[in-house]
Amino acid sequence: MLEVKHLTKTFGGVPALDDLSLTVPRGGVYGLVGPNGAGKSTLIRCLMGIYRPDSGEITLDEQPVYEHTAQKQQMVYIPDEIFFEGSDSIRDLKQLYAGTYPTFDQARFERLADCFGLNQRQPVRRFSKGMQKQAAFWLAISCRPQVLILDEPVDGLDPVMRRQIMGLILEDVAEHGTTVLVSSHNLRELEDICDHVGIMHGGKMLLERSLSALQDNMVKVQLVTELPLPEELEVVHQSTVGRVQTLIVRGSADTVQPLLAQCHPLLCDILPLSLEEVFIYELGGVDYEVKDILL
Amino acid sequence: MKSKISCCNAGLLRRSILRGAPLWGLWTLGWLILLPLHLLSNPSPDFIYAKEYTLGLTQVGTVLVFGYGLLVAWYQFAYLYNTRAAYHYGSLPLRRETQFLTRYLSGLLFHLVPAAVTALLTVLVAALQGTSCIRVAGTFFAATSLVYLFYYSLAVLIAQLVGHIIALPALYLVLNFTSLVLETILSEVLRTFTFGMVSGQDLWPDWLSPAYYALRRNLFGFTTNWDPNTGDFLSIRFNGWVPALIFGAVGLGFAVLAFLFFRKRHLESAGDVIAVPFLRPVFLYALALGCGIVLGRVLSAALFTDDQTRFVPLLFSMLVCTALGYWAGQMLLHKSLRVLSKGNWVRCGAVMAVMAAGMLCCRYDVTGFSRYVPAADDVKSVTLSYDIGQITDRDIINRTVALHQEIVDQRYAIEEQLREASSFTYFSVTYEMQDGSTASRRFRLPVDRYGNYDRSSLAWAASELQCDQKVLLERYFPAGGKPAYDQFTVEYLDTEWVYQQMELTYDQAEALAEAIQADIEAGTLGGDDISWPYERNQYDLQVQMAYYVSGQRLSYDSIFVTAAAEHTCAVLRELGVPEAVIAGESAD
Repeated sequence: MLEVKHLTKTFGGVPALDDLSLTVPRGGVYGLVGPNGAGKSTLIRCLMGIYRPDSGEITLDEQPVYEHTAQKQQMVYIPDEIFFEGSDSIRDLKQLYAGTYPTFDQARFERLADCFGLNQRQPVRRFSKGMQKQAAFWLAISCRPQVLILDEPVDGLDPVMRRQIMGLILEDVAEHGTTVLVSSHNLRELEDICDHVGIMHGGKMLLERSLSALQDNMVKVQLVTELPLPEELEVVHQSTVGRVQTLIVRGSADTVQPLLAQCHPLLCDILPLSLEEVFIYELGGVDYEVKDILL
Repeated sequence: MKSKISCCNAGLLRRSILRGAPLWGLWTLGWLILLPLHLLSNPSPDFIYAKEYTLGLTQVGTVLVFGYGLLVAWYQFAYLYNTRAAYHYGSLPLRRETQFLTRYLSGLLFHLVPAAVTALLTVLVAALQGTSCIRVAGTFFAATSLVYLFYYSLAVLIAQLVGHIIALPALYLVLNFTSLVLETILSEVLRTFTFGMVSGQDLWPDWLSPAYYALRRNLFGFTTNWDPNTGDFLSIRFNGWVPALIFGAVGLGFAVLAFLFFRKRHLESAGDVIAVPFLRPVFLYALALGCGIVLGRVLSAALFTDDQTRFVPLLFSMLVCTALGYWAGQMLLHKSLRVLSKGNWVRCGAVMAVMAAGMLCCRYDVTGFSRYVPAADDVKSVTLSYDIGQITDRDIINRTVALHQEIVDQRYAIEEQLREASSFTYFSVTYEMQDGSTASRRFRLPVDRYGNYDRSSLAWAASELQCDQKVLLERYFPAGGKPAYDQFTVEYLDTEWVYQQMELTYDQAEALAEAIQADIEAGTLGGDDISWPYERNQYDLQVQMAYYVSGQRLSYDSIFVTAAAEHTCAVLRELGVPEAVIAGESAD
């Protein structure tokens, strides 16, 4: 289990992470979402032992990560902007990873060669952005990590390769219990692969739940009624087109249904929210709502 | 594939060495060409040649490693200055100790291996030519490696303190040559503000600028000893073992410090000019004051009359450049042009005030430096205007102290006259006190226009003092020096205005020195062109004399010959100097 407790990190006195806590269960796929500047990348760099936290602790299986080789050998990180030195080829990088990760699986690396189809001798900097990302995944997956940390992982990948790579990762999750933490703005994609989601804002963890619990906690209601809404109903957002009101209501369908019945609706449809809608309406509560911009 | 060495990662080491191949490859190739291949292609029957050549290149090597150490440190640790690279290596499962030691060791190998290969091949080539070069080749390897250890470790240490790829070489050069800059520029600036200040004073210990120190003191030279009677080779000795060992030991100290800084370094400091927070104010104020002194002097010379008595333009230039340095430093530290804030204006004003206060303290002699004149009884000896010849004669000491006092008393009048005078002369004095301490002063004294010298002027008094027979004899025949007769030369312009230089034999030089001494005692040789009654043979005929002082250090002085110097002229005639030159007619 990857655990973060009361993590604080400041840059020049400005807090990037503020008393943040997080738990990623072993074998889970954890989606880290949040607006730009929420601190997602800072958190990931702290997790990987790149940044030294000001306070708080980060543990993997109850052992600290920072400067602990045994823990870091179980973790592989693919950043949003991948770094390759001048003339580095995939073969050169393979030697570096093989020399630093004891779990590096040479056979798997060779097997994946067909899947990725990249020239192992060509300098990686000559690859396209998507091919560089493929190279990074190839090397990362070959390390057979216990924890895979991905920052904007599919950015630049074509849909086929995206599906193929995600398939490989989920295969590792299913077969080897690999833990995956993904930071992404592509909520649609996260929705397909994540079982846990954490929403960050302003360096804090706004909420952290399983995806199903998160989606069960808020529903969309399309409603036609002549009567006022009951006061007990916790409406997060409301809009009206003609006689049809669209409500975003906090609570599960089971708890909302009886409350809506009190206003004798002519029409009442209760729909689940997508992760993107949860994200938007949850952040709306902390002054990060979508604004209508008129130019 | 995990390294079995706990402090070093084999994968990273191999990668570092392979990627650095162009650097160490060129270095190896260069040394192979300079040493073994040169010896192979230039076989010399003289078995000394290979030894002298190898030690000569050892000396060159101790200079070259200054630049090579910087390049290697730059290559090994440049990743710290690129955010993505720093994060990439920071995310790898390697402890910081391992990363540092692997890279540091790799950098050491960049010199140790090429130097070892070069030394080995030199021994082999010399052996093929029938000479044994084991000791000198070993000296080459050990000395260059120790000095490399120093420069490389210094560069590695600086690499941990800075966060920008340009900051490393900049700071490295500054630290190695601060002493030179301060001695040349700061002492010149201080001379303008401080009456009596001597130029070239050691304002900053030389050893704090190691490269400059090593070059200036020629720390890594060698000596070949020959039998003076038979001319046979006796021995060859490298003179730099002690400095090399000290360099190596200090280098190790730097490496430890670098390691400690590396462990504490925040990787997010990549791109910052200074990576260590507590050094940022040091950098800022050092840059401001450094710019104030160096650029202030340059600006003053460019915009105003370059006159040492005009301190107001210089002070103005220094304050402007101090402010420029301060704002430049702020912009570099913040990586932004937007640094104007009330707090920064206040701090800028403060550093300018410090600069102004320092210079005004010098100008108005707050420390009493300019006013200080020693009591004659406290003085053991004086040296006038030249760096050899300590005069213990009480009369000369009393006259020197009295003249010094008079100059100090007339300070402002002298400064006023200097603005009007067409020329000036220097009066320098170094006192050795009874308690062993020394004090040096140097004054510019105005000289009358058109050579109509005022016999009551300070310049005249200084000239009379310096032309005193006792002073001249001590200057040219110092009690604490030994003439180096093998280095005497006679230089003159012949009747065709062609410069001639005549190197004298030991016996010729000895005879000429005796003649010069006799003429000085007769009062016909050695004076200057202010108070001296004889017409000088201006620059047309001079004898360059050399002395060994303080052991083996050579000091040179020259004496202009006058037609009145009978003994000297007679010897010069015998040496074949044309009569027209001796008579002072060559310039006509």
